Amino acid sequence: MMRKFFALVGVLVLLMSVLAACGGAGGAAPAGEIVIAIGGDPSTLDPQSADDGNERAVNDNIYETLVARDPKTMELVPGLAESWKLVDPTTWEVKLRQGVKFHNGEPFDAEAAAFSINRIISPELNSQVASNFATIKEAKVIDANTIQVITTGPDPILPTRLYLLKIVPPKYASDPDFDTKPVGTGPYKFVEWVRDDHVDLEANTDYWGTKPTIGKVRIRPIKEEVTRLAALQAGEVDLVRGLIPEYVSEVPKAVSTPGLEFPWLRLNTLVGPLTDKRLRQAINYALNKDALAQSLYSGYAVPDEGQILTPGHFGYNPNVKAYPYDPEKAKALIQEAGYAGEEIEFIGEAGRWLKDKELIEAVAQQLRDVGFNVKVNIVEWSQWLDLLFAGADKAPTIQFSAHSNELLDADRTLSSLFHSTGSQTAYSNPEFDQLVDAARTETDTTKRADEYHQAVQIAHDDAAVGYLLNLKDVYGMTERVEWTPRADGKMLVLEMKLTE
Amino acid sequence: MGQFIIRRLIYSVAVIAGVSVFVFIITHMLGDPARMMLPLESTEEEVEAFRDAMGFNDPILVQFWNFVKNAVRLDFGDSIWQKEPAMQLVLERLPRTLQLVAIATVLSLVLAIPLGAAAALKPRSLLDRTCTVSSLVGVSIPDFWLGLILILIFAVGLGIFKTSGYGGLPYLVLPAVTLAARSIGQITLITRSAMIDELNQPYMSTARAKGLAERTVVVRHALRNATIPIITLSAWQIARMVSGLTVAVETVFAWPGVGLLAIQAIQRRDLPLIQADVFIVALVVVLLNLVLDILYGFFDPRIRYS
Repeated sequence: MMRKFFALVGVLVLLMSVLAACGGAGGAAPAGEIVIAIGGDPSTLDPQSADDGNERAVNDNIYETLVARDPKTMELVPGLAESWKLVDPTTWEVKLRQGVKFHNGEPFDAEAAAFSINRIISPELNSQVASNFATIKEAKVIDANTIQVITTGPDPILPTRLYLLKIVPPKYASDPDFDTKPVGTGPYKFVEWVRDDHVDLEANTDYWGTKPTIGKVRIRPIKEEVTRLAALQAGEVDLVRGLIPEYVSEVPKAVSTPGLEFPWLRLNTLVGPLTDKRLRQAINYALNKDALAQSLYSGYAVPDEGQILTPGHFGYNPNVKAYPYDPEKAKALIQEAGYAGEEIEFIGEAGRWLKDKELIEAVAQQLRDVGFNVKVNIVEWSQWLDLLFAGADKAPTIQFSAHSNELLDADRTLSSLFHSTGSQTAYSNPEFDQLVDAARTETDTTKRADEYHQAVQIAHDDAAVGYLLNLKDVYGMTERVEWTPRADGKMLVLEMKLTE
Repeated sequence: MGQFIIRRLIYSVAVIAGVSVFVFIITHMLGDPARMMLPLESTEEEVEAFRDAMGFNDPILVQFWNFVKNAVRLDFGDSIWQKEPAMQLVLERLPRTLQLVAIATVLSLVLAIPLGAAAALKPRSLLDRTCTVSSLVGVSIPDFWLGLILILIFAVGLGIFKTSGYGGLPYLVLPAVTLAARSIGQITLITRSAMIDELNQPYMSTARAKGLAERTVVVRHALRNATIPIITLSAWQIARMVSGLTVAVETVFAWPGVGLLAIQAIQRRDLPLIQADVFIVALVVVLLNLVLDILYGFFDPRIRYS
């Protein structure tokens, strides 16, 4: 019985490898299949309703946006829109690309573009990402290929926002199947979704842009990291997202790109010992960021340049640099501030982010090394959340968190972590608030950048938070895949190649 | 018999109701459910709107009454994560979990009962010792770790099976073996000790004295009498697989069943989905107990239902 079974398995394996070998040929027509492993099942396949990286991994290939980003420079470039311009302080006019069709044959036109914008802000959709578009009042059709987007006040980053807004077909969008069987204009068409098992896509041969070269795409949710690694090693999948840095040497090929995730320390600057700026500066001087990046993330992390923003974010200040590691200076500042060894409560959580617990312990030790009496308290997630949003009078002296700003604009980071009204803020500086408030409605790009540069400098000099690291996104691939990952984390199969 | 089943059914309903109420209490009383379900970057207004929409602002007793009212109609609301009726999401995945559990159970019984019986026939022999030691290994090995080791050897190393995913034999064997490992060990051990007990009973000498073949003596007399503890333990093992073990095994093997759904629902604090999941798992376990009670009478007519 057993022998027969193994013989059967042997025949099956042989058969499968023969079939796989047949897949490669075929000139210009899209060919081959790529299998991509992600960390979990999409919550929905409606591209406008959820804030979900797994959903985006699928829909980034099916749908397109009016404004795109250059894969290398991350600059805004035309997508489904040919051009856009500001016609008055609250009106952006967008010219659309012509002759584009949705996968179901519906035309892409001004009506579709305006519909998509009005849909995402509508209270009926109740989208989790609606806050990205809170400044939009409405979109109006001007002619077949032109729309106007009206904003509630001057909104300088509207094009940046449009990069996050996928264009949906107006007729089909009201179909009850829309959230499980997506239809877009993009280079790949939806085939099927078996929940928790796979989503299949195929090349859209009528695509208006550069034609896709890979014929089929299977996206598989594999929750467990070691299993993802094993599936890659066994050749069952070609590309995995979120590879743990230690595993880089175990995979056929690994690529990385600066990511968007920043572990950081929220310091209570309003109540308790850290109201003294010198102690906050001492904390920043005490952190050996390079050592943390090397020992915990195998080098797949870089020091945060003192702003919780990447160079790709609008408003990044290139003149602000990370606090250097200087334990002597930290000790001197502590002495100057007259710190007498009061206990400093350091709240953290475990398991939400890569190596979070190890990072918290290492940071605590570095703080102890310069003389802080740090007491680490790892709390349960719900308690951690309550503390993060509790406001300064209840906020712990130090709280570990991680921040990720996908809008690629400084506003979100500065207003939620630093602005005195921010939901996670325990810092208050009227001068800083004023700059961020002014920048939010400043339509002159140069002025706006300048306001952010000043704000970033102020927070940095105030040591408003503990600046830690910027983690890289690491991907593992099989030998046959050729791909350069993007800084915005999108996995666009159109930009990938299979070499066999 | 009929009365017995009715009494057991009433008892089962009470158990399921109790479990559901307990889950409601722990999910609503610990922490702020709205903040736990929404992304960190959400503003206070968004959180407040969500609380309103979900009814978290109602007094807890009103929330509880709404929960009970819908739960009796098996309606736990839409999953917050996957936006479909929670019950439907669970029922969609239930057959896949039951498939895994059924195969693991068959595997356990087919391997463990003959092994345990053979070991009992020759106590302290090499066979007996090998069985006992490997059973102990099976019982004590952590499932999560076993699953990963099996993947590394048989999928990555030898390439015989698949590392993960849902499908036919190449996908099924490793998770089923992982799931079965502990119950194979425990059932082997209990079969062995129950058989040794029976083989030392005086009626065994009577059976042999009647001139019955040794095979008949062992299978018809000893094994039949040893079935009660084996059935009890097996049912307990199945319940344990359904109610918890599949969470680890399905996670390791990315097997799209109820266990994998449960862990994702818990991580996302998806209350409707957690409640539907726990309800269905409790239902399966309770039904299993009912079947077990009936099986007792079938295998041992001395057990009466009155």
